[in-house]
Amino acid sequence: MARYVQARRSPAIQAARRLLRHRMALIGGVILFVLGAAAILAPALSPQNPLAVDLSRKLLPGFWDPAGSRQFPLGTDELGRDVFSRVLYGGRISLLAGIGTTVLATLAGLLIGSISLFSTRADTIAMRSLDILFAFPPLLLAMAVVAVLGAGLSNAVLAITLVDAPRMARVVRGQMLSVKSQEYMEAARAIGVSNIRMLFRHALPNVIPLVIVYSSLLIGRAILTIAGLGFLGLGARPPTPEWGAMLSQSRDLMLLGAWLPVALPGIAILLSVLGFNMMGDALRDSLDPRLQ
Amino acid sequence: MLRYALRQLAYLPMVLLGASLLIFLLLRALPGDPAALLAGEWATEEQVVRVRQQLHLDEPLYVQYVAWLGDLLRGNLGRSFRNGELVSTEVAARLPATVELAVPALVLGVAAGLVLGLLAATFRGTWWDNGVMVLSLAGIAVPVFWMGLMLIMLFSVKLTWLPLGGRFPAEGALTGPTGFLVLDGILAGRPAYAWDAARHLVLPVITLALFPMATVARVTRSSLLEVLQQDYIRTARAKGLARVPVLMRHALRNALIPVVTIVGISIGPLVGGAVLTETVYGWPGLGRYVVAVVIGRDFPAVQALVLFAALLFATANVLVDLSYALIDPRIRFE
Amino acid sequence: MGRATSGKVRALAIAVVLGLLAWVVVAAPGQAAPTPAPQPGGTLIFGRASDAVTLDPNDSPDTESTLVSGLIGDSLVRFKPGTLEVQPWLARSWQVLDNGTRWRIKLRDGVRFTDGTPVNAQAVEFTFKRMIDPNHPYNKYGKWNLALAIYEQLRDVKAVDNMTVDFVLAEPFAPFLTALASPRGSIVSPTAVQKDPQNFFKAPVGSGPFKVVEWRKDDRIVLERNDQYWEQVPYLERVIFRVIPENSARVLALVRGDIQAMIAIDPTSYEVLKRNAFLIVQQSPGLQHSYLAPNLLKKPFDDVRVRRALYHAINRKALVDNFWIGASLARGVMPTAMLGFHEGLKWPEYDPEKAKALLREAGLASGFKTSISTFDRGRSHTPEPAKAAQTIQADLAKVGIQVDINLLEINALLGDVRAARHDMYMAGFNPLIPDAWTIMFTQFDSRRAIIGRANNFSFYRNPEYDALNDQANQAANPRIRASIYKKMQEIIYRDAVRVDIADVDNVVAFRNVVQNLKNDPVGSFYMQYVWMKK
Repeated sequence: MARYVQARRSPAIQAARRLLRHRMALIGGVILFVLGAAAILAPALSPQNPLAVDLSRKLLPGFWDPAGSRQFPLGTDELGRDVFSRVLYGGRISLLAGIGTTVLATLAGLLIGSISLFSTRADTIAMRSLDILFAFPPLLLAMAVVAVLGAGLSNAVLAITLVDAPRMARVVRGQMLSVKSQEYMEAARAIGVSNIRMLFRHALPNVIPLVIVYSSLLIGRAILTIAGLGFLGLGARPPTPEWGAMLSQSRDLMLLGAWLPVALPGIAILLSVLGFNMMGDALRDSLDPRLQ
Repeated sequence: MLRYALRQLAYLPMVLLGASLLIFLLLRALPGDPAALLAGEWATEEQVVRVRQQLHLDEPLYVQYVAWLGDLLRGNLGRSFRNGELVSTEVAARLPATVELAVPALVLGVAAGLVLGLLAATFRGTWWDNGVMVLSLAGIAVPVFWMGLMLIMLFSVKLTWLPLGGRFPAEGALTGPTGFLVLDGILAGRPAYAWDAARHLVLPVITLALFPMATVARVTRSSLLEVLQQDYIRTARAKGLARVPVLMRHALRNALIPVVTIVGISIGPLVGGAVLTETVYGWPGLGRYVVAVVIGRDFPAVQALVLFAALLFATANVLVDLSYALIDPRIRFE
Repeated sequence: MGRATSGKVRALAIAVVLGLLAWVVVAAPGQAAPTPAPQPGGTLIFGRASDAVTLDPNDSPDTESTLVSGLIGDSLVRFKPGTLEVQPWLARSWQVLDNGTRWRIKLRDGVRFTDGTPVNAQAVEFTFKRMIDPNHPYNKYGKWNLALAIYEQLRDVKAVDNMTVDFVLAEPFAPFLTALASPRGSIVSPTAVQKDPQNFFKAPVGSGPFKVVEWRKDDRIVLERNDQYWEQVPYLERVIFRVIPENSARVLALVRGDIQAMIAIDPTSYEVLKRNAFLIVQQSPGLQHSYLAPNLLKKPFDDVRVRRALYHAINRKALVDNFWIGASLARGVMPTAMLGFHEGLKWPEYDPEKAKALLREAGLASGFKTSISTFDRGRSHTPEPAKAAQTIQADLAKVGIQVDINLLEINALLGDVRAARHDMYMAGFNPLIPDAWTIMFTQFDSRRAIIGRANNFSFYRNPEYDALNDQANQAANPRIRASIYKKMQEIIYRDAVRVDIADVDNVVAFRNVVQNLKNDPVGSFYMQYVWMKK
């Protein structure tokens, strides 16, 4: 890859950059903290059971409207379920699913990417095979997998893991290769340090920071893709309060002027992804000042 | 880098072959008898047998694979399970719609992104810069289908300025030489029709352009900023040259290099974005067709479409790698 | 002008305006204005959610296709408008011979297909042989799924002379005449089929009131008037069927006048439609029906107590009120309007406690886990499958039954349920022919419960029931048939085979310039009598 010329920066610009980094980390951190807390505390914070259907109270407006009620603070959807509770529980699902796929993809990626440390031949085979997966646009590959496995949240998670693992593997591999060529690694090998020890004591610690940064990017994208699949009807199945699925079911309500069930899940998705992206950006900036 | 890119190019046919094998096997990994499914609810035994023969389902897997590949190379993408039509016909009917949407979206996204990135870099630290940063962060994080719904709610339902989805003006499609309604309308001397068709294009194009615009803005900004730090720029400035011509002549040219890469990389998200945007707006293009065939388990069509997309995407990736290697003089001489 | 004068002038102006308003309100539509005479001309644009699958009348697999192909072809007999009474159409008269196994039909003279060739006995023989005979040279150009179901008893069709045709049945089949009224029995032009068999499904040629001009897939089908039509030449010049999948977009198109009529109306759209003064929502008695069918091959649905518990657990009235338009609570397995409907059965009421008691009796006090499979988008008999399924799921959860929901596209769904892979199937239907046979035989007879090719999606197998079915088929006297069918309904009632939800009427919304738009019982409209007020 290109070697960047180390730019000299005036102190003012350096400080400004630090500030921006700080600000992003701060905002991103706050968003994620709020989301995480909301997701964990969802049972306590939800006024209602998100699956409780009651047709007599469908499409209630928010509590500020005379027809609304504090028991259903942000109104109800077309089956009388509390929107606020569903959005909260939806957070659990989206965060769990997003983090879940990324953890799986990272583990798989670490496994496959580490092959480059040990055997060039195996590494070449692995990379060529991964190239095949790289040939597919991400959403389409996920859709093809779902076409075979059927709709459902767990299948969607599996599909996205399949899409993201090669990408993580490539990142890990790149880092592993540069680590491999370091002198101390050659030295270690010369002494006869076992492969496993090399991997865990020397290689991995160098890779982990990059993996963390890339993971946060992947989590954000995974959340978007799961919501997208849910919206298309290929992800979480009803009545699961997944944000994307909630959006697809509520869209006809726009004509009746009921905009809360349509606006809220989308805002939730936006904030979640924003939080992870900001964190990721901030982390990347702080861990490697050369990259912008 | 150049060697890497050339190697990728050489591997491309193999990769595509591997992709075709993957897709083929993936869709054969299903429970149930595809022949019975295809033959339909009331098929007699003879009809099911006939279908099985037509699709070579009795023969070993590799025979089926080779037969399928042969068909593909001859342009026969198979027959849809749902209505027996040739997949190639279905694709050809919908391709202009998607192109009519995707190309303006890409152009708009890239152009707007360039402008915004330029503004942000030029006036860095000011509200322009912060605004663009926030906008591009949001543009990357916002779910494209939700954005579409919100735009519809505002412009179609509340303000009724723009139509509520769809592609065709009330009187239907216009047969024309290009297949693009706006152009055909103008060519046919029907400006009112072209205007109505254009009105249908506005919201979907904006929605689809959002993500590319955000990514291009970010990359342009950071790339420009980096270049602006370079010694030679500071030398030029120190020599007393005015800011803007310096920018234009030296910085831009070099800053644009990674942007070429980004445009190529935008194609992947554009495909996904097109699928979601077409679904939200009821746009009768390939994106919506893919969703229909996946939900309908129409495997011949799914196979053909996903492979077609892989072909485009993989080729685009290789070209991007190649262009990146070729354009950037620093890289070339590594 | 002085102050006082302007005040008087203003008062006068107000009075005049009020008077004008009053006059306008009083003279508004609804007053006794004489019905104007039909005027020829105009184009009627229909909006619907899905496109047709094929326009070949004989091959139609669903209502979306029949809606259009029903206007292109004529059948031998038809239903008199507004009734379920069969009247001669392309057939002039008929006789039943050989103990009910041979129907001899005499054709009407002087009718031609739109390609100019005559409608004669040879055309009738060609049409039917094409469907039922696998060795017919043009049989391979279609699937004939539902046609084969309707004409299952048909063994042979022979042209006796130019205007007389014999239909030979394997066994006497009382509803055969009704079966001939189906659009799937429309007569098509052999010349046209032979000229271009591969594309006949896109550009079929029949003798009906309209002919196909253009079909742009997933966009629109354009029909134009058949000026040589042998009965009432249509007033409308053109009929266009447009595909607008999103409910909200379709409703808005109707409101704005981009389309003039719309079907597949869901409750949300209905709310918008009824507020509009220029739109009429018309409901006419229909034979559509929707139900929830547990798969009796899967435990615990083989236990009748569990099935009865389902009935008690689901609040069917709430479902019908909230997710159907123009529907009423089902009171049996067939629509109440059908001949043979059993008035006297008291189906289980909504009573969750009773449901729990029955489950306890069956040894399932702690409930069980199962699933519902249904459509992913609305059909005319089930406009809101996802929401209805979720409501049923909530109801069942209250008695301890955990339900997963599978939303599938129509082909995948049918594949699953035909192969008995489902636990419960929520669906609906428009009877293939408006005769009790369609329901009692195809949906409950064990001969239709063959795994892989079933239509009895409950997989109910009861020899006692089958025997009664055979009796009913052969009984020529409608009253005897009706009483046999009543007995069969009692058996289904006793065995609580499935949960019937709604009897769904035909609902169509249209702009008030459209006149005389009437549904027919087989999924289309009597379009030749429709006209537009200018």
